[in-house]
This record gives sequence, C-alpha cells and structure tokens, in this order.
Amino acid sequence: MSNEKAPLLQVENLKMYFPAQSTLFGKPRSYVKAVDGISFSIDEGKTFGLVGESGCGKTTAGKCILRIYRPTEGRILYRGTDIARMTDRELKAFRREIQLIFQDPYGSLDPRQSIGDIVREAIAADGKHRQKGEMQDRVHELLTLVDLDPVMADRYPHELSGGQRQRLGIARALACDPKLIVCDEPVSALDVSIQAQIINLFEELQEKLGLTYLFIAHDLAVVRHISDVTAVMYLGHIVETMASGELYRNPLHPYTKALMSAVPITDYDVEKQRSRIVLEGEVPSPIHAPSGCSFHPRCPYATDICRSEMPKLSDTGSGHFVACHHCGEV
Amino acid sequence: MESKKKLLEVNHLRTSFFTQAGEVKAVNDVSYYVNEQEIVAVVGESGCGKSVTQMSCMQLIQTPPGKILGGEVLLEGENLLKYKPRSKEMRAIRGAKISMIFQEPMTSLNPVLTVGSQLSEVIRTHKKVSKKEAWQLGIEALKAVGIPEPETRMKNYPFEMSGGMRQRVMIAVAVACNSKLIIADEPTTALDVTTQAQVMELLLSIVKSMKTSIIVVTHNLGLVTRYADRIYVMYAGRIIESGTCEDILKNPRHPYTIGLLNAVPRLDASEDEQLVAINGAPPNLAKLKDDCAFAPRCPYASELCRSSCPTLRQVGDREHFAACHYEIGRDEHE
Amino acid sequence: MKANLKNQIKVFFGRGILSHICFWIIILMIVCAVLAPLIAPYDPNKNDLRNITAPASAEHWLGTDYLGRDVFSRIVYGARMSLYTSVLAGVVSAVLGILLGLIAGYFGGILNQVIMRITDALLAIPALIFTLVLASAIGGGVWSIIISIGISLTPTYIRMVNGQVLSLRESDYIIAGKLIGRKNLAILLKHLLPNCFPSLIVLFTTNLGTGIMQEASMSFLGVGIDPPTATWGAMVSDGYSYLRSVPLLAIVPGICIILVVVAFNVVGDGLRDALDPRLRGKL
Repeated sequence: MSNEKAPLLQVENLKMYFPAQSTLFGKPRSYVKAVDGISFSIDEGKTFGLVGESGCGKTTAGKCILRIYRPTEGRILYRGTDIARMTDRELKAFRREIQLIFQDPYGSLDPRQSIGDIVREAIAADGKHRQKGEMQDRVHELLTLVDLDPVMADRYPHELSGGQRQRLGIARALACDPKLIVCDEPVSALDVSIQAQIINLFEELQEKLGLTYLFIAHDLAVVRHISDVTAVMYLGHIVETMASGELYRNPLHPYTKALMSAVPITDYDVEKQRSRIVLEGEVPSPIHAPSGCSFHPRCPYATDICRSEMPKLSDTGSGHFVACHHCGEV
Repeated sequence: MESKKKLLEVNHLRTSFFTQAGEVKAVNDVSYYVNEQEIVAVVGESGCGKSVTQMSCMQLIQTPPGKILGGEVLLEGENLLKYKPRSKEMRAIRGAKISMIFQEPMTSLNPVLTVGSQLSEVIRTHKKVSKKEAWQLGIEALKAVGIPEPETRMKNYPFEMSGGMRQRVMIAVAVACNSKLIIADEPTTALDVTTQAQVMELLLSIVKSMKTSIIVVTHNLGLVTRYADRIYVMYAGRIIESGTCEDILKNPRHPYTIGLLNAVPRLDASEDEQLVAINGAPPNLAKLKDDCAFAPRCPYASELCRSSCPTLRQVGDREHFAACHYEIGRDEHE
Repeated sequence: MKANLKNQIKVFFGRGILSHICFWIIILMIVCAVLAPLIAPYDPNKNDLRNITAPASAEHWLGTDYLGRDVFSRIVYGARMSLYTSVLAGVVSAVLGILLGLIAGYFGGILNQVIMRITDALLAIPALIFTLVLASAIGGGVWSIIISIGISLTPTYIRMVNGQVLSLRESDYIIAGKLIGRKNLAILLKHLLPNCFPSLIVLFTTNLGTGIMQEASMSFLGVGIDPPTATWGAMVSDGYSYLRSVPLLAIVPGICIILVVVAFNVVGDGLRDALDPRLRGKL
C-alpha cells in the first residue's frame, strides 16, 4: 500500500503438486506436477493472459490464486500480503476481493435459485446489514451493469441463454466488489457471436470499475485481444511472457511459434501466405514430465543441452521473457 | 477447371423435429453440393441445423421426433432418400461411400473392444476379405493416418489413446473403406490447438492422396479460412450465404457473415482493435416465422426484412450467393 | 416453475397405467387412515362373540374375525396404524440420516470414516433382525416400534446424503459460494441440502413401503404393537391360525400389505423419473 507502483498480485515460484500413484500405506509415490514453479505479476487495472493447451496447468494456477487449492510451494502476494499459506479464517479478509468467472456458466449457478436470489446471496454474504430497498437497488444496479434486464430477477438459470448465464456469473462476482477477477475460459463454452459480447463486457467493466483480470484461456486470439501481457504455459512452466502485441509480431519460443501457427487468421490473403508449423506428437503426461526443457521431445531445434538442463526465463529486453536455450538462434 | 464432377448434391432438403413446443424446422430448404476432391465447410453456431443437415443426408435422424420432410440427396446421381434408413443399401453407403467423423471420437468407438477389432470389423462389412487381411488393411490404414507403431496400436483400447489419436483412428476407418466422402462434424473442437492442426493437415493430405471430398461442419471460422475451398454459412436452419472461401472471407455479403467475421478476435489485429459483437442471441427454431430469421439482430433490418424471408440470390460473378434483401458489403459495416 | 411442475406430473403419469393405479392406491390408503372413524362401520376392537368368523355379508363386508370384530373396520384402522408408524419412522430416519450424512460429508476425514463404517456395518445386518433386537431392547409400545424401524432405515439416508454431499461439494456453484465468502455451513444448508431433496423424496417414499413391511413383520412375529390395536401384520398373524377354515382373515390384510408396499415402490420410481434434473430443462 505504501508503494503506489507495487503490483496488485505477485506470484513467486508457485508450485502445485498432486499426489498420483500411492503406495500400500497411502504415501504418494509420484506427483503430478501441475504447476511447477511459475512467477508473474499483475499490475492493478491490467489484464494478464495465461494461455496454453489442456493440462498445461493454467487452470490449476488460477485455482491456487483463488485459494481453492493450497499451493505446495511458493508465494502469492496479494497487495503485498502472502495468501498462499493462509488458513480459511485468515483468508476471510481477502476472499471477496478475488473472484472467479467460470467456464461453464450453468454449472456455476445453483439451479434452484432465481436470478435475483443468486445476486442477493452474493451481496449479503459480506454480513453487513442492509435495508430492503438498499438491497433491491444494488441488485438492480448489478444486473444493469452486465446488461441483464432487472425484470428477469424472478427467472431461473435454465430459462437464460448461454450468454445471459455468463452475464449473471459476472454480476455475482461483481456483487463482492472484487479487485481481481480470475476468468477461467469464460467464453470458450459460448457461441461465436456471443463471445464478442462477453469479451466487450469484460473490457467495459474494467474501464468502469478499474478491475484487474487474470484471463485464462486456450484461445490465443482471444487472450491476445483482451490481455496487456500474455504468458504462454507448457507442462506447468511459463515458457514465454511478453506484451500481448509482441505475441504476433515477435514470438521467440518454438512452442509459442507453433501455437501461433496453429491458429488460423480469418483473413484470406494473410492466411494463404502464412507458414505453418505442425508439431509432432502430443503433450506428454505431467506425471512423466521430460527431463530438461519439457518441450524438447516436440521441439525441432532441440539439442543435448535441452535434454539435460531446464532453461530459465530470461529477459530479452522490454519485458519480453523467454525460457529457451536457443532463443537467440531460432 | 470447371469440368469438376459433383459428388454429392443436396436439393431442397427439409428436416423437422416435432416436439411439445411445436415443429422445430432444423433444416429448412437447404441445397448444396460437393465436388470431387473438394473441401466444403458448413459454418454456423450451435443449433443452426448444420449437424442435422449432415445427419439427414446419412438418414441418421431419430424418428420420431425427427422427420425428413422432403428434398433429395444425390450421391453420384443416386438419390439416397429413396432407401429406407435401415435398409441394406443405406448401410452399405454409410461407411463404404460416406464416412462420418464426430466431435468426440470416444463415443463413436466401442470402449470394450480393441481398435484393431473394430477397424477390421468395419473393413470386413464393406470388403470381402478374410479376418487376417482385414487386420493387415487396418494396420495399413493406421499407418496412412500417421499413427506410430500401428501393429501395437491395433491391440490398444480406445481409452488408452489420446483424443487426437482416437480422431486419427476414425479417419483411418474412412481411409480403409476408400470412402468417397468424409463428413467431419466439428472434428477438432474437443482437441487441443496443436493437435487440431495435426488432424486438419491430415485430412487435407487425405483429400490429395485418396481423392476424397470432405464436408467440414464447424463453428470455427479460422478452420474454414485455412482449409476450405467453398463455404456454406447456415443460420436458423437455412443457408444464408455460400461461395468460395476467398469470396466469402474477402467480400461477405450477408450481415450475419459480416458480423461473425467482425466478432472474432484476430491474431494479427492492431492492439486497440475493438470487437464488433452481434447483438442478441440466435432464435428459437420452434418459433420461426416467415421473416428473415436474422432480422432481430441485424443492424440493417427494415420492415421488408420483418415481413418476408429473403431467398438466396447471386451476388458475385462466381458462385457467390447471399440471402439478404439488401446489397450490403463489409465496408459499409462499421 | 408452474410449467416445471406440470412437466413433472406429466412425466410421472406418462409412465403408464401402473403409476396411475399405484398413485390411487396410496391416495385411498391415506384417505382411509385420515378418515378411519368415518369410513369404518364398526368399532374395530368391539368383540361380538355371538358372531365370530362370519362370512362376508351386507353387514360385515369382509366378515368378522375369531372375536367377532368387523374385518373391514380393522383393515381401515390398520391402514391408519401402518401409515402412522411408517411415516413417523420415516421422519425419524430421515432426520437422523440427513444430519449424520451431512456431518460426515461436510467434516470429512476421520468423522466421515467413523460414521460411514458404522453405516456399512448396520447395512450388513438384516434389517428385520436388527429391528427386532432393537425393539425388544427398548421395550414395548408404538414408539419403540417407530424408533427401531426408524433407526434401521437411517443408514440408507446417510449413504445417500453423504454421497450427494461428496459429489456436489466439488461442483462449480459450491465453489462460487465459497468465493463470495459464505460460511461452509450456510453453503451446506442453502445449496447442498436443497439439491439433495429430489433424491430424498424418492428415498422417503420407497422407505415408507419398507417401514410398513417391517411393522407388519414385527406384528406378525408378535413383537409389534400390543393387541388389540388393529394392524395389518397382527391381522395376518391372527388369521394365520384360521387359514384353512376362514382364509379371508389372513389373505385380506396380506393383500393390503402387498398392494401398499408395491404402490409405494412404484410411486417412488415414478418420482425418481419426474424429479430427474435432466428432464427439468426440457419443456
């Protein structure tokens, strides 16, 4: 708080291991290293994008920050306070400031609650006393904020369309006056024509309320569009972090390049001229993560050092970090 | 160049589902064709009828509540709709001449049988070969779709394979049967980005090497941009625009197509680019009237649009059709 | 929501003629139980020793038993007793079971292990033997029957609630509840329990049938409700000695038991379908 420039969220060497196979006596024999030492920070009012394929650990990282999981190791500094090892009781003061937008808007809504009830519950959960009219005004305000007609407060989630359900999920999160919102694949379950509505809503709300987002998704184009900074994850590690503009202009890590190339651009001429890199094989299981650089089995440039030594994220200038032994040459 | 032969021709196909809420016109007078060795994309959002159209062609609609009400499906000039859905002829066409690939390959493979036994069984229903020969053909098919160690893979169960691998097996079925047409329904939606590229490149190479045609049913415009020769855009059970990939992407003429293109974030766009969303939500197919189904969401809609349904008309010099009352181009769309 | 209810009724009765019949059997039983004094033509316990084991007639629709009591009146009052014991036993078991199931699912860990292993042990003992032992340990009286049947049915609720809590605990809306800062207990009562209700209603209904069956079995074995109170089980037991001469005495209450138990099970199945959340969205 003393330093105005301190980032809102700072993640340092975050690790989350899940026990996999266990011995006869219940002691874990091996671990799934879902998140294996990632660090990043998000400035207030900015959007940080976390992109990667399924199983890369991006969702687990998000759940650690929300403290749905208690991380195995590392620090999560929220406004300067480490919340990584806090107990539920200590966490209470921060709980409502970090909210989550779910991928499946329907699954995150109790089917037995009306829309009004869902929002009211979220408002009332802070335990403060409110007059009835005050509560009604707040519900009205929140629903209007996400472009839902307040008349619909008496309806139930199953009567809403996919886009409306996601708006309701956002309204519920906003009811807690959050500072940081973790958006976990918030548009991937929606129709193409609805996705843009929700993305625009996110941007609008950020401007109005000064929100900070951690935006987790597998869709490179969406993440790039909404984020100020994008980090690419592969098998529990961040392999590249850069200002989102750089992502298309100057990707350095071979994985980022392949990922970029796999996403077509909806422009006929541009698309016809792009070179395509098709990766061999598939993402290995995080239980048997490869030695050294975890990307080396699929990397066309891999050499001996890649097989033995894990590359560190290093600055290539102007906040562009990449974890590759050969990033200068490739 | 223009002497391409039509492999599949669908004319005025209509399929409805009769539910408690009324008649759902899922496929409403749809016509399209596929040339030999061509990749055709059918694009639309969920519930627009794009999958039902393909299922109707294969006569795989559950009856009731579904019913094919009319139209014809000509495969090399032979109308498939004259056969009963469960007839011997129809079964011979499914698999042998037309193969289907679905979004979730796990559900199209039997989980308790090995990949090899399923693959060779399909081969044996369509080809007169011995069990041993079928097994050998299966291995070759797996090799053709780029599965490493096909001999051991044949003995694997579907759950032992990854999603991308299972999708390859489905393609291998089509390869083994020498299918003329592969209908791929959202073939890559359940897959990871890099695996998507692998599967699509594989399909592309099969068109070239096996001389097949492919219909890709998808909601993903990017997929279409890269791989399709021609595009059909569907909305609310109708085709609302069709043409070559180049025409539709460079010069879309239907407000819905224009809207879709503007609503998708582009990797190469400038940083301060704004997405232009299409307002509202897709219509309920049970409550369609005789108007333009897109009118409630269309920025150009007029009285005319709300009172009469536009038909497809030619809008370009090549085969470019759009179903809109007005002459609208992308430039006017701000 | 109204359309929802209409839809559920449609699903329930759409299952065929059996659902209709069983539904009306239960309604009939409830009417008999509630309005017993109005329906029964005679006092069920009034002896008429001049007129014993009389055949069915206009005066005594189902004849009289070995003490000259009107069988029809006793059947009607028996319905009352059966419903009374089984509903109360159901309530006892539901309250106990839901409470223990929630505690086990909510606290988890060792408490969960202890409660669930005891539950497993109870489920392993045949219900009837368990109830018999319990009833004789507690002593006589209607309440001893109710409590012992109630306890013997409790494990089914514990199992179900615990399973539901464990699976729902991981669902997104429970996580959402945690994130907005609600206390765990509030989430449990506000979100978990209501979402268990459809399954609970189904279980309660089928358990009513089981309760009636158990009460009848106990009365038949002579450890049930003290005579001369009319219960179907006791009537079968009494009539059993006259099976050769006056078969109706045992057969009529026997058929009543069978019909009602089957009816409760069929209705339970119907409710399961009607309350299935997967059918909820379909209109």
